[in-house]
Amino acid sequence: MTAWSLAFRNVWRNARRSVSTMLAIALSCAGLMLFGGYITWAHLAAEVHAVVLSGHLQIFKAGYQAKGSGNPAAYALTGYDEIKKMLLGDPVIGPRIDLITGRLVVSGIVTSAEQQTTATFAGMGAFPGEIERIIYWNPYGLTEARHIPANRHLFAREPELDASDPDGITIGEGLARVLGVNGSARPSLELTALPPSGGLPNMVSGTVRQTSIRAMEELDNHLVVMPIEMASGLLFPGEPLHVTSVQLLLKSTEDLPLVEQRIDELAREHHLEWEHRDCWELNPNHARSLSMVNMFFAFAFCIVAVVLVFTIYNTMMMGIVERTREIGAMRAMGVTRAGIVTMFVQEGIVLGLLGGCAGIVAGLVTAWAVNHSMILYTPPYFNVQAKLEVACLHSPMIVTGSFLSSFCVAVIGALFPARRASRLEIAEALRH
Amino acid sequence: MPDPSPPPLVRVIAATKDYPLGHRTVQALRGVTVEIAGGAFVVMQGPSGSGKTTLLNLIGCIDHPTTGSVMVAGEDVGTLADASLSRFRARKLGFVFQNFNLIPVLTAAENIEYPLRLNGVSVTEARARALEMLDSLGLGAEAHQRPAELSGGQCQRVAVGRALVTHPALVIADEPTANLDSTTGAKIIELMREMRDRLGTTFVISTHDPQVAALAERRLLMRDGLLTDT
Repeated sequence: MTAWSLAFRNVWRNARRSVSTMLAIALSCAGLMLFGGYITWAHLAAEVHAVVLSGHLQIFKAGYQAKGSGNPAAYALTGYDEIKKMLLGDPVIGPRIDLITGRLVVSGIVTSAEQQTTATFAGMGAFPGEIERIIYWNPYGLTEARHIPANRHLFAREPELDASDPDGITIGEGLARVLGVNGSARPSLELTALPPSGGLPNMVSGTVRQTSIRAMEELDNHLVVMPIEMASGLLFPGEPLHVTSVQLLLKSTEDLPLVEQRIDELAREHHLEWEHRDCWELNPNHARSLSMVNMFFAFAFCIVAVVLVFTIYNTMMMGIVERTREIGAMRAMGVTRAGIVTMFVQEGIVLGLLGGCAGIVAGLVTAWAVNHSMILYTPPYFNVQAKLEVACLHSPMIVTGSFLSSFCVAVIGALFPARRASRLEIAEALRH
Repeated sequence: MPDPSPPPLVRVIAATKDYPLGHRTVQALRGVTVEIAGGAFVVMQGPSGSGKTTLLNLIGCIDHPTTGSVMVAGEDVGTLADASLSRFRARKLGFVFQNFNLIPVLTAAENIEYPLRLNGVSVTEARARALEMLDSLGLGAEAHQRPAELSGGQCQRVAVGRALVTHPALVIADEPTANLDSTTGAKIIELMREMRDRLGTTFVISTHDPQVAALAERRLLMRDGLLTDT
């Protein structure tokens, strides 16, 4: 007979009470796992969405973020090919890059002569083929919005740009509705923008390959995606290619700090007037949403911990009241106060271990069920539906952290009653 | 020169014990002085509330006197810290309770092993000694029964075995036959005497039972917190 076997048997002395306590621990553990898995999914989804919107990192001409929105053309970068070559050839940055591409931001007025409608547009010039790689970046295998049946009609079936279709553009579903061209086949649109040097506005024509939905409603009502040559021709007719930013897609988001540091070094070494922004700086709402979700998690964890401590406390205290005379007899036989504390803490450990293990199983089964059911909801700032997922197995920390948290809380819950049991007066306990 | 007489195993000197009861204080002991020699078989008698259990608790080192002192096996127990006192009880004392107070989740053998394990005896040796004790108590066949599966008499025999297995100098028994029928009670007292004869252990027993008192070598009579006859 060992202390542990005594603790195990004491736990089963009142099986119904112990099972209900273990259920409370298991539910806490499973709840933390599922919430932790959901938070992890939210982090991954936010990362993917931020990268899809802006790439991991963009390099701008210095001052663009402060003043460039008022005069984007004045802050455009030239020498795109040289920049790309320099970054790809760099021993630190080169091996970590999945894709380098350029984007040119242009705004102006879009007109449908056929429908006699006009609207303002926010245009983005991009390299055909490359934009798709950023839009569909999904290294974690999350369920993409376009693969959800309820969203399927909203997404384009073909690439947004095609190198063999130099006049082809894609516009947002909302903009097509405003212009009244959403039912037409390849309608022609005129895009007008003021050149940075002043003078008469420039105009180019494009044909709408398709309409496409953007996750953000404001973007959906104004977006025009066009080949970068068309955008450059609209702002800088007759000049070499200009880009607003050089966009980097990395093989791993974890490389971001290293790549940013190296870009700073390159800028200093080559006296380049660059500034850069990562995907979190370019999409600050994502980071803010995540910090809010993290706060929810911390709040929920505190509630779970308090409830669990009181549950364990209650169970142990009931056991102590029932076993008062037995505790007195043990103390009379020579068990020290520390020995009594140890005995009850061991019982708490047994409860915590069994409850925690049951919680892991319950959490994994529930996570599997959630991930295999199509529970849809619309996240903040989105106008498409997303599938509820819990990424419990994305990191071992989620399972071990949930287990250890509920286990430790169970042991802490056992400590107070154990201390109280150890302080019983022997003679009084024997009279109980 | 003749050998000086051996020091008493228990020496209680002018012990008093007060208990708060609401706004007043009850004096359970009013200055008790007594000595008990090693190997004695002492029975303590007296009406309810006379202070028997209080005096037993002081001698058993599970309570402290309000004034006065208690020495057991040459140790002034009032000077020992709680942990030292626990270790002292584990080594030197055994207890037999009116309600047996066996640990219900342990078998008869494990209940007897328990104080041995507290004294640091290995699992194997503790098991062997517990089984040997159960055999000597005539309970070899019940070694793996839990207390709930034993009769009252069997439980009390297990409790006696648990008290004696560590070979303590002193066994305190508070009303050990109160919950037993008279035949079983007599057998338990006989068993204690037999163990005293075999192991030389000192027994101090409190009882209301005149049958038990009749078997005593020495009787301590208590009334109103005082020893009236030693």
